[in-house]
Amino acid sequence: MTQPIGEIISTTSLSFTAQRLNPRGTERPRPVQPPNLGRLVWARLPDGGRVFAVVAFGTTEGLDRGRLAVVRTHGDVVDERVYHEHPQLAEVLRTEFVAVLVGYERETGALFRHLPPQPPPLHYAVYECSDEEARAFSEDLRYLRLLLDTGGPVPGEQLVAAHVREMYRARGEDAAWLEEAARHVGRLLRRDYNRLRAALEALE
Amino acid sequence: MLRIENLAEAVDALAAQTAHRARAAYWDQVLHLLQRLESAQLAERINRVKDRIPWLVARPTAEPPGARYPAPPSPRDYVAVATDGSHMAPDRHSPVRFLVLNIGKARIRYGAHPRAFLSSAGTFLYREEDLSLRDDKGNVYPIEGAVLGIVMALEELRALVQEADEEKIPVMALRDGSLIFWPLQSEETPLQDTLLPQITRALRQFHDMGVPVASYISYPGARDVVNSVRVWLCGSCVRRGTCEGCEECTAAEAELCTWLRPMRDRELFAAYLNPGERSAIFESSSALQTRYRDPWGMDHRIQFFYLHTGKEIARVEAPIWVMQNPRYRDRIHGLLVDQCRRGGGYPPVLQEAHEQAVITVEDRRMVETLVEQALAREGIAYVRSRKDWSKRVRGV
Repeated sequence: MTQPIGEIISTTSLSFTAQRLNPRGTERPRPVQPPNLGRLVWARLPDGGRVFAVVAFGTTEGLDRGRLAVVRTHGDVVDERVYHEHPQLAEVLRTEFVAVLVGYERETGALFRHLPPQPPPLHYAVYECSDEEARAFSEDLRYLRLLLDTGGPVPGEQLVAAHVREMYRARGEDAAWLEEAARHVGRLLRRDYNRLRAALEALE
Repeated sequence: MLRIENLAEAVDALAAQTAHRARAAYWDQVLHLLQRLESAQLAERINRVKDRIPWLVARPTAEPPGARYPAPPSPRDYVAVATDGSHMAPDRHSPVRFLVLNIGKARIRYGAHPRAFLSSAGTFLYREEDLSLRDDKGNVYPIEGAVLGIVMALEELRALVQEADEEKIPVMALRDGSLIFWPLQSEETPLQDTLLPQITRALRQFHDMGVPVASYISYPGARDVVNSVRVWLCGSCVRRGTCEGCEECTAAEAELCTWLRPMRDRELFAAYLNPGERSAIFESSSALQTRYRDPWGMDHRIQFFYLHTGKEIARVEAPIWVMQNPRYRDRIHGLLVDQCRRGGGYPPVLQEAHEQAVITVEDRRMVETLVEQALAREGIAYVRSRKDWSKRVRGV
């Protein structure tokens, strides 16, 4: 069974925020990172369906927001070794990511690429989509419009580009699909040359 | 409201006083003296005057009082455990009496398989018998003030025993603060008789598990060693509380003694120890100490040393069986230096235990709300005192 990567700690009709779960059983302590920007993830709905969402932002900070991070690098204790020297970090840091809702699937398996009728429930688990699921979802790219104006800190054209890159990889570097995706982005941004250029440059 | 402008003059005077205390020439004399001190002579001098001086002195042990010891290497694989506690004391302004204890626990494995276990255990006490202590003579003491402090400390110590028991590789058990349960000193004897065996029993458990237990005091305020140096300089002045007009010591000695009087041990050792070094081991002269014997007769008297953590001077206390066992003593010393290196001058295991123990303002409000709601369900209105109301509302 696939392992959840996070749990929803805030949810709305447009997006949800999930806290990354600590991977257990790893020998070496290492930083817990959010999933890739643009990655397709999913969560269950109480009626048996699933929502799909695109990772639009990630942060890591102290579990207790009043506790600021302090510098821990010294000598050859750098990067991952900092986590090795301070095993408590795994317990006192929180990594969160925001995912923008882009579609849902009914219990019957029917797939829709627009906002779901309901947000996913609080405390439900979040999973990364398999390459297979990503391939199926990205067959029709009309949902990309939902990523353009999320109101989040990541510019819409960067998020669209990051998502297309993620899907291109999940689809086994399908060049024909990428060409189609680029054309689609071109149509979405045809009235805004600067954003279009930024999106296409990020896709190169 | 504090009117700052009225304080300026006194603040300037404080700065002048601080400058006087930092005078290097005096320090040189004191350190010179400390280095020449011999344990036996100092112990003898202290014994001669001890009944006539009202404050604590540090008794020397076999180690020369002026000795310094570099940090022994610390094992690569080790476990540090610590506990800390906080509470919501029964509130005089509240219509119902309850007490919340929260014990924070931190157990951190270092080395090849690093991992941390952080947790806390909260208790809600409300029954009359839980809100008071009964001594062996049947006297009842409400758990508040000093008694609450002792109850907390005891709970922390018991939780520390349990945490330490979870691990196999070299363990160090740490408590924040002192192992000499000072508040107990001013309590009545029957209460001491009830609580001391519980304390020493917990200490005995560490001994039987083979876990050295110690307590750590950051920025300690004690003057035990400074007092011992003053006794050495001239027991007579010390006894009379002033060096003026003393016939037994020279003017220079009297001057030095006067200068030493406000000093604290941490200032003395800051001028003396290098980073990582510890002082000699001393023993507290607290009267309570003579009763640190567990029900099976084993001695748990508390001894201490000062440690240069790299950032400050800390006081480390441990039972005599830890301090006089070179393996345990060196483990405590080496591991504390390692902990302070990792924690920027303060042991991370203590910091995390504290973080787990904290009851935040929001937590407190939440507990109050819970109590309020539960009472409301029983049809009881939660009415607090008007004084409390005025503090909360702060109307203008």
